[in-house]
Amino acid sequence: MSRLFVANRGEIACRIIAAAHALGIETVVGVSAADKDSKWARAAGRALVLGPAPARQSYLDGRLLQHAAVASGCTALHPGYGFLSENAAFAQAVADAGLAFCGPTPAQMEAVGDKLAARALARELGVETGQASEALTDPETAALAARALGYPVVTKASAGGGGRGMRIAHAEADLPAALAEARAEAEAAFGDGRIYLEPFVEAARHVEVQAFGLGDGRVITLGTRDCSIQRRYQKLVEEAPAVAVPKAARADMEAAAARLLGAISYRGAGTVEFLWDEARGQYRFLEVNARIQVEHPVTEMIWGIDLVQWQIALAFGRFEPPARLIQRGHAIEVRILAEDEAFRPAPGLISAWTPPAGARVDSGFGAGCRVPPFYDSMVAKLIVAAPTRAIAVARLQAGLADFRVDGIATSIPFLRRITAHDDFITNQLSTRWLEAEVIPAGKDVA
Amino acid sequence: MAISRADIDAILATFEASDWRTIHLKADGVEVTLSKDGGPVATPLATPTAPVSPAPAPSPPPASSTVEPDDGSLAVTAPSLGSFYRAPKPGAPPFTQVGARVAAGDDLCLIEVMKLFTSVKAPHAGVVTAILASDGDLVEHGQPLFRIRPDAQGTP
Repeated sequence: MSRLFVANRGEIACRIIAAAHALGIETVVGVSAADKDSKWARAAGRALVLGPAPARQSYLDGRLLQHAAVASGCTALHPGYGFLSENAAFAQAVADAGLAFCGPTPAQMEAVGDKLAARALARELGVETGQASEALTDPETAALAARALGYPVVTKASAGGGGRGMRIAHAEADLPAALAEARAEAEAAFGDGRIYLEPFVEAARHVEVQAFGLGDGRVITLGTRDCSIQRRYQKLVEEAPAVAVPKAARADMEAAAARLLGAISYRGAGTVEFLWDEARGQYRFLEVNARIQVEHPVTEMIWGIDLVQWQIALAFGRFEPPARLIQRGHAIEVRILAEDEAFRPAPGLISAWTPPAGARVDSGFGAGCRVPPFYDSMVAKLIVAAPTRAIAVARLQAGLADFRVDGIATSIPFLRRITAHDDFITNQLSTRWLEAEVIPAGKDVA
Repeated sequence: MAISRADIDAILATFEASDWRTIHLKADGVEVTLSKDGGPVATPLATPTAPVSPAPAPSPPPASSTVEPDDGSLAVTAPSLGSFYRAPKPGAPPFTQVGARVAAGDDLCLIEVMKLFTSVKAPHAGVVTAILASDGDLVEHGQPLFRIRPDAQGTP
């Protein structure tokens, strides 16, 4: 009997457990003391309490996870997203312990995990990377680099993403402070303070390509997603395909993603992110996310596939690429967070939970569940699919109108406001849109 | 400020050293009722079932002690998941056994996590009344491993 260890929590843990069970694979999940009675602890074949609530003593403790996986007789481990999913040292330790890792090899993770290294690889392969400086060491070099790129510029952390290490400098006077803040933030978040500069594009879309590598140089690409609706670089609404971008440009991005991941014989699910400059009609490579992403369901909906099952099957050596893959219609996902209207985390006990009928809801919570204060605030993803974007938007609005959660504050009212906005309905969006057009001044305090 | 394990230990020690017969304390969502009569005490605020009943704490202490209602013994729990070993190395005599006396700070067992060993120490002096895991078992964080009946100090 095959057995998979699930090294994550929340909806993705539930998702991995269901996918494994559908493949006839047993599951063991490692949980913190705070998640002992969670939905995923009950759904798994076995739940093991790793340590106390803080993530560094449970979900971020690689040794505990490995020990739990080996001692419970698992032969593979799925890291989900976040936590240790893109930690090459953890992936290596898992492999050393004799477990198959549902993700890329440690070497592949390192090759694409460092942004400057990934940019260099992309450039070598002829993928459009746009202009950027090298890693900056002192303010004088930075000032010269920024002048060459032209203001405004944005700082980026070489070691990671999630908006950390990103600061915009509109003029040379802003640069020293932006650099210092970015470096401190990157150092704290990733233990690596290397910062580089890119020109800041005002009206851009965040477009990404979902890919799945077989580990032998073959890469399946599964179209594009548009994730332009962001608050503080955190995606809130994602859709597939990226219909606002011309088809030819989307095809180019898919080909570039296949070239990039094919060159390193990438294994498993991965996403190649691009910035689409609407005004110039150009795209440029941003980064690779070497894991399953939160927004993977929109791709699954339009292709009729299960990416998590693909990941697990590949790790167990059972993956067969489908003979025919056909993309149909349009799908949209919204992230429902346990946050109040001022974007402050709102953990607590969920007293009522009525998801809309007929929509896909991926969640680790329900009525009677307690949302602990220790982790990410996402409590559910609502996903709709339809033949066209217009119908998908209507279904999303209806789904959000019907979704009732009591006991905790959620971002559902905020998402209703976003999805009722004319610019959303007509798809006139950019990565700045949410903060500029929807979030009222003075409310964004978190 | 939440009430910590150390605080409860201090309360226990103070109580044991005193000639008080019962104590009831309520602060920060934690209620503690102690009695030297060996049974539950009827006080208006007390939780009737267990002499010491800490409310669900957001972050449980690494090795917590709770009084068992039957014999007044305290459970010593695993600080993290790991493999449970009763002896310092294979073939060596165990650190302790049922009926043995232990002093506060004595090693009780080892918890191994990927070849890294952590010793679990007795939180207080007393007599080991039960060993709740078997050598080599995979134990979870918070799982009771031992029960130790505290020494009855200060009683005539």
